Amino acid sequence: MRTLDRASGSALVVLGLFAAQQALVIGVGRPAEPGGGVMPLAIGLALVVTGLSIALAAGRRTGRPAWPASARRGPMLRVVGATISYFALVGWAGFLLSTALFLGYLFRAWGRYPWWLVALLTVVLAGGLYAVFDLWLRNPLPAGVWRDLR
Amino acid sequence: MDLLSHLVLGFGIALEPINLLYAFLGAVLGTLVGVLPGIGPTATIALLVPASVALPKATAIIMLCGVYYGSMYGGSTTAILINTPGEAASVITALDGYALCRQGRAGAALGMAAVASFVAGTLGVVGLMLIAPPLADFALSFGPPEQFALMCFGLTIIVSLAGKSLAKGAATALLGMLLGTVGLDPIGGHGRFDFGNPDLLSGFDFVAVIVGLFAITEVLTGLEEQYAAVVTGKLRGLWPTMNDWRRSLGALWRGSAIGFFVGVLPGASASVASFIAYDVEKKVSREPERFGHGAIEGVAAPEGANNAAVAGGMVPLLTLGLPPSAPLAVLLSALMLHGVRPGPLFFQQHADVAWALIASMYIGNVMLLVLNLPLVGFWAQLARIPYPILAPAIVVFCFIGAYGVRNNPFDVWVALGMGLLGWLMRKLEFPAVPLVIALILSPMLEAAFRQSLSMSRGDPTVLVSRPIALVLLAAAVASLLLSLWGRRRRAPVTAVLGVETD
Repeated sequence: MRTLDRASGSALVVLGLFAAQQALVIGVGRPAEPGGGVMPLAIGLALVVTGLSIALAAGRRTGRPAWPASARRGPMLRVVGATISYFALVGWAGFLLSTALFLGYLFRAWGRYPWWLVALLTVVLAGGLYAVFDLWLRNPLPAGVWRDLR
Repeated sequence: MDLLSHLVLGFGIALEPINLLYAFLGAVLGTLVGVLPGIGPTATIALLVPASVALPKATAIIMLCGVYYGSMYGGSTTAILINTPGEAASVITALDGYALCRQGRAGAALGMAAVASFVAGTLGVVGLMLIAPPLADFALSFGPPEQFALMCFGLTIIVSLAGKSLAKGAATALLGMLLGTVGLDPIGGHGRFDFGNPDLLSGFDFVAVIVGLFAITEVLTGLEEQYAAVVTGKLRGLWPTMNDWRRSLGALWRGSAIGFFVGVLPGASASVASFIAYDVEKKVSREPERFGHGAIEGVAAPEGANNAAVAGGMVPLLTLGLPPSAPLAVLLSALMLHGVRPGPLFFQQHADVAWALIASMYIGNVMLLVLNLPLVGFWAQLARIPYPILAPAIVVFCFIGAYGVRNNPFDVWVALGMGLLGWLMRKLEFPAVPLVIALILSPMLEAAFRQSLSMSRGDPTVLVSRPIALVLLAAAVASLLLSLWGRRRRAPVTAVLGVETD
């Protein structure tokens, strides 16, 4: 934890310095007419002070964070990867198809449910959410390449 | 006309069958949509404003108020069941509500939330009727320095509550404030930290940040810890016990009073009210270490406060035309869409709408209680859905919630990024709550600060030379000092909004 606190404190100092530098570029104006850089400058300087205090207090820290066991890293990466693929695909393939693929893959790969249940859950969830949000509440979900079919 | 005859007029309109029907429909719709993670009251009301155009104005406003109440309650339901606050005001409810859920006491938490919402909502409406005019006068005296001081007070409360380390709480609050500065300068209108990217120029949407920091982080944690379901054991006690009521009664009264008075102040919001109420409960409790680990009064106080704040927020909205929160801003636009402009003359020119609205708020509270208490068992059962089914569904809800507000794919990536950041912050013992609150308060704080300096021609003493601002700033400093003193006295202090819970 000591090393991680030093690292996170240092990262905050760097972020604070960057924010302060950018604030000066934006412009701080004058006292009677403060510019858009005033608040970022104040935040940046406060981040530097806070980051330093975290890094300096790290010496008193003991213990280490519980990172995921090696057996859990694979499943976690698989879900994160599936989510990234889903978010990347949805703009092109549309909500219905990409959601069905995402749910179907995880129900099968993570839950190990039989195919008939995977298909049922996928159709009910993806179709139900599309019906509620897109059709009923008129809150448009991405249509992707199927846009012209509407 | 006196108060009683006004009330008779209001109830006469609100109790018409068509208005009763739409109040019920609004409450049901609001609860249903509010239960879905990431869809808060603002988005829900905004979604239904176009559908209300075809209705008579009183009926439309009554329905939209029902939606507001319903979605507030629905947001608390998801906060308790899957640690995903439907809106900012439910963030604090998630801390103890979700802890109770993990202990198999989701029903007790949901039941307490329903009753607290009803009692506080009802008290708030009574307060709105009785003391709206004098409080509106008081609220009118709030200028930018007072608003700045109020925001500072709200922020210091959040930081002082945050986790084991005050520095880490402050760091995440500053990070939230920095995120809040990305996009258009609220006064000058120039881009900041946008680096020529139009998505960054439009700023970070707080719904996407909330969805990521809470829902996606929770999915990652569930994966890591191999949840079979949010609750795997038997669901115990679907209703609050006598002990729960005994513990919560004071919290409920205090939360309602705090919520109403904070709700009245322009610039304050239901979320600030819920944080202050939670902080007060923790400070007056003999066992503050229970907070964050399933204290039932940690559900009653913020739920009471955020519902009373809704009624309180109606005071500046109806009498000054000032919406103190985002959902009420949408409600204001709905009122104007129907040709009704709130302001000092609202109660005279539109007495029918004004008093029907007040009466319907009371009726809406009753409807929500009747609707939700029998459904507590049903909602609680949601926590037993196998996690490999629930988690992917939550990710899809997150997508809809993050995407739905602005229909911008950028917000979806923000939610995912925030989810990963939230997971890392949990590991490094940085609390997430201050980041969200600071992100929400940051634009208001900045605008108030810069307006204060402009109005004083650059004299910074304006921030401390006005009595209300001075009292609020003194309270902010006192809150931080009390927190520091408490940490030294009870070291190691048990985290309240800290790493174990958020």
